[in-house]
Amino acid sequence: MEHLVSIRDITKDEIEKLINQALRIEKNPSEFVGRLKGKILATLFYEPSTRTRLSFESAMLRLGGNVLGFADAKISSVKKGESIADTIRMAASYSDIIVLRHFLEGSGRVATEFSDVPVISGGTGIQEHPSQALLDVYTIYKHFGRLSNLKVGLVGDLRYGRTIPSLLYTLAKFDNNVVYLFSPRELRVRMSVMNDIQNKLEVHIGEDLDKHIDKLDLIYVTRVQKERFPDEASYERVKDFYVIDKDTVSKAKDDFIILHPLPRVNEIAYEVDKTPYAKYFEQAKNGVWMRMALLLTLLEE
Amino acid sequence: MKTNEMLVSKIKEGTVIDRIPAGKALKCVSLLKVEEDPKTIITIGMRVHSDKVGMKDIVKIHGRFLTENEKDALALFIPGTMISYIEDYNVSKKEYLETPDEVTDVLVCNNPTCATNYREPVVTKFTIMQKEPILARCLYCDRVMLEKNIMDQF
Ligand SMILES: [Zn+2]
Repeated sequence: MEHLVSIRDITKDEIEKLINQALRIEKNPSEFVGRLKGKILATLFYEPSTRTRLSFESAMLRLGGNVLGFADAKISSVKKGESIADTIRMAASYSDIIVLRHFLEGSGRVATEFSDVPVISGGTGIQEHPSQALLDVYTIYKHFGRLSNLKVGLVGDLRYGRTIPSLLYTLAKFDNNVVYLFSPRELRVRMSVMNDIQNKLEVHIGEDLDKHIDKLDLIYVTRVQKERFPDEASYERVKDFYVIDKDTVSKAKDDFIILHPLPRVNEIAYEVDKTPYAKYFEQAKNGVWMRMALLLTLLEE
Repeated sequence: MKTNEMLVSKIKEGTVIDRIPAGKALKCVSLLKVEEDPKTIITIGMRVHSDKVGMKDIVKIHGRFLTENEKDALALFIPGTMISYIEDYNVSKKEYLETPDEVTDVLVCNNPTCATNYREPVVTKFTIMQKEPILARCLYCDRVMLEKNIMDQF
């Protein structure tokens, strides 16, 4: 693995290795202190994302490395119109590894062409968010002990949510997974993504979550983002299309879990937080372990 | 010698692009950007009768052969075109163009938020996912372009 800008670029074997590494780190973090001493991570965030950025920075600091970068494109050279290519070339000469979050699709691929250090995508437009998918499946693996034979419901904005393609690509690498795609019609999974998972996942498309929840192992809920809509009215129509509450999960299996990449708005009611199904806070915590595994793998191999 | 051959004179060396759908010759020339090269002589025959395909256009480019990119572009926009390479007034090689699997620096991505549409020093790359009708996928942003969007660029 040279870079990580799409889950489609890595193998099932590499994903399993990352999970095993994350498990080892989580079990015994002190053993990994100082492993990346003297190394520098550059976090280039052209779009604000507190969670992703802080969890990468925390991961690097826990490994003994250092961090530099910017968290807002407004104060960086981007404002002056510098290209991704030039910014990346500069960052690659100041650091050993780069995390890039950018609002343009394809920005990750552009970055890999101009960087002589590993580039990790921290989310590129609506395209993908591969490190999020890795921590998602890490959470799933820790709970179920497997990444195959799972029935997974994806709920909410499946069209513009950048974590969705990455998660689907990851699930598609393992055997006998079934996905149920629940979304309003206008927020269905994009054609290119459907094409990629064709024949690799059993896919069911629908709107009625309540009707299927009893057969699912987990649901992955995403927020409907206001900025994706041309006008207020079309956003209003779909924003509370799904609200997961205690009633929704009353028919769920015993070991059922709910994941969410966070931040949430209304799509999961607070009353669900205290149920054993709520795994989204633990999921966020898992981000650091998985990102430590990722940094180590890209820098030490 | 048949009349239609006399309409478009023979060339000593270069490329003949034949069986271009009638009326598309000028677009074909602009696609290859040959008109931008002041030293290249181009002969164009439009609405030439052909026993095999009826009415067709024909373009002869003197003293120049096509690059792989140019062939891909032609193949994508006008599949079925026949190319002949001429050396010393003789056809040295004939090639029927088939839709390529991948095109480089031919298409512009129609995703307004694709990084390739900004000032980045990269050339576009598309894989042809399907040939009938054509579907092309941007290798940078993963957007799929439909045949209509592709042909609009020709
Ligand atoms: Zn594109």
